[in-house]
Amino acid sequence: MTDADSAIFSDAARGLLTSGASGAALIRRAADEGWAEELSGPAIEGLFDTQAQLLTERSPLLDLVALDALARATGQSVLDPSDTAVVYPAGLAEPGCRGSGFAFAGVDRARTLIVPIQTALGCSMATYPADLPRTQTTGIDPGLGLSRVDLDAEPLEVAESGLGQVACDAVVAAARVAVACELVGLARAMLALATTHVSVREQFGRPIGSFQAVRHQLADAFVAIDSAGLAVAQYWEWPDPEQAALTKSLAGWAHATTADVCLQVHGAIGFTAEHDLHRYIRRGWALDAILGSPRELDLSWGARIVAQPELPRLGDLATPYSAEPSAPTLEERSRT
Amino acid sequence: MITDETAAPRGTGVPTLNEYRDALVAWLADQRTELDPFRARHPFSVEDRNRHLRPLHRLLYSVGWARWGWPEFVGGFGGPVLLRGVLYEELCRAGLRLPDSMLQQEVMAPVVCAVAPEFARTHVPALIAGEETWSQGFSEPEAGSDLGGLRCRAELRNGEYLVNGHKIWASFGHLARRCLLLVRTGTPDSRHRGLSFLLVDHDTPGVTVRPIRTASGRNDVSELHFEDARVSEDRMVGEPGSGWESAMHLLQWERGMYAWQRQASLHTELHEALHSVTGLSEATVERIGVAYRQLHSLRLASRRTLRALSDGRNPGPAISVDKILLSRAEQAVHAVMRELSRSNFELGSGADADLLRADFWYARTASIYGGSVEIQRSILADQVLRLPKEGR
Repeated sequence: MTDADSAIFSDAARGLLTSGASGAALIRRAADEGWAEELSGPAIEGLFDTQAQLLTERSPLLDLVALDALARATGQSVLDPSDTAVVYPAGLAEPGCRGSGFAFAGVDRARTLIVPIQTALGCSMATYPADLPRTQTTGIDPGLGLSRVDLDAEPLEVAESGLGQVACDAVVAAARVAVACELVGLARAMLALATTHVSVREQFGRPIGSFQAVRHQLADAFVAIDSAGLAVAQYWEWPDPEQAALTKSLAGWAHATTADVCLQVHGAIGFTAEHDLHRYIRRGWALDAILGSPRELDLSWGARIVAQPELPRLGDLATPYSAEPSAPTLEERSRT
Repeated sequence: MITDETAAPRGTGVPTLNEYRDALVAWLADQRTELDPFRARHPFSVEDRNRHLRPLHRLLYSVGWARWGWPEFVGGFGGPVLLRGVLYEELCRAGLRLPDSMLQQEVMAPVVCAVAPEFARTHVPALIAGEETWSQGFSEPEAGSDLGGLRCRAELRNGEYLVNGHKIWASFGHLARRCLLLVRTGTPDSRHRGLSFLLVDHDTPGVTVRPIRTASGRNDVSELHFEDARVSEDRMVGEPGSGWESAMHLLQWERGMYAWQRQASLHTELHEALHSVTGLSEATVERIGVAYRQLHSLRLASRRTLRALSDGRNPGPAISVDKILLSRAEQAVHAVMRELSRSNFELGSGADADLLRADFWYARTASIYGGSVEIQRSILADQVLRLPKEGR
């Protein structure tokens, strides 16, 4: 992705996200503006990085990414995000929901719910009626407007196992990377706050940012954020479900590390309701609990590579430099 | 029997990365049996390892694979630097050990090619061919992380430099033929401005090279003493006084290509350590996942730097990220290997345990050599985050 690409999408995203719309109105507006189909890497990065910087309230825009990925994987047209919502798994690294899941604000717009689910054979994509029992939950960040959706009912439809697995992997991978973009954006915003703070806050007659203990912690946060950004860029180069899990893990650790460091170097002011820092922290903590927490993803990666005959070397020199995905499409893979 | 005709033919122009990789992979498969000795667990001592693996470097040069990506004026076939990155990757993927001479050439040769092409034409071909190695004469007993404070002096007298001083921590220095020596040619207080590079033969009268036994019992590093050693003026590499810039140029390669080589090797080492392990605890499995994640980060960061270097772009201060990630990956992977040994590391004896321990100790040095991770954090704080300067 070039800087010019991301700047174009960031500007467009800023226009969308400062329109005052939220929930169902926000996703309808996004669809009207053409965000619902063929979401490129730079578009996703621009949208979710901007959403992070603005701390957008009650945004269901992750559904755009999931529905776009579903359409690509199945070769069908994109389901209308104005009346379709997505339910996401939380906590564990497995890609499908078991028993329940979480939907973002504006789920009441939906006539049907699209849900990645665990099956006996792995995972698949299911369609549920919109009238499933659900309860609103504040979570640590009430601004997300999450609902817990009870999935005990029979689904209306479950994709056949081969295509279902491919579609589920594709939807979860795309959503993981979009969340990773938002986590990286939140971490960058926190690091910017902290950099400014330690440059002006003085103790012992000098800015606290001149103390090595403070400087080195912020440098470590930068390393973590940079690593996560590289993983996102690698995913655009080679969009592979395995790499999406690693990317989310790296972004989650980057956010968690940066949150810890920034909270420390802000001192007491960082804990106040008046200061913005905690809003970036709790937004990331909540988002990172969805679609596999970093520890769970590390554990599942460990289990995967122990079981595999070859240790994967992800990110080749011989792949092209261009931002365009060069891997076979998921649809093509499902045929082989 | 491996013959020249079996390998990387010239004359069809510079191959693309994919063409080069595919042909190389086919050759490696074709020569599987002949290459098997280089796949075996490497010998414990660095001296035996050098004797064992140097022929692999020479072989890869003689059949041409190791000539692509180096400029023609030093004996290469030309083409982008990334071809070298593909070579190291595929050698490791095939389970081969990278000879130390191939790691050292990547640290020493590019800077000489860049700052002194005419000089490189004479001296670098032997490095590329695996005929000789050079030690890296940077650190001194009183100048480690504070490299600008080095005191080893070279004074010009009648067309010769008279070198006096003490260098230390040169990796595998006692196995090298010459030393790429960072010396003070300016006044004692000239700091970074008064430094220069000299190429000094180890057999020059007045030069003594002695291996240093490390905690593992292996001679991983050496020290060099210079007492009135006379070095011809034409052994100056680049302009007098340009040593600091040259050293910084060298460190870019140590971040980019050396880190890329190490991640390629670490993938192989982790892969072999995971071979046929069973009954692991969840805690161990998680640590394996974490080590892999850190290794993956190193791979992506070093690839970014390598691509910049291959394109002739300056990778900038973010290369300090590579160095921090290299340290973490080295130490995380070796910690996992130690854990998977099930106390063989602490309580076992024999060749496997000795090697495991020695490689673990060496991995600990990754956060110290080439500028400690503390220095790297300070560089990021200053040059990337632009924080207030550190108080003194």
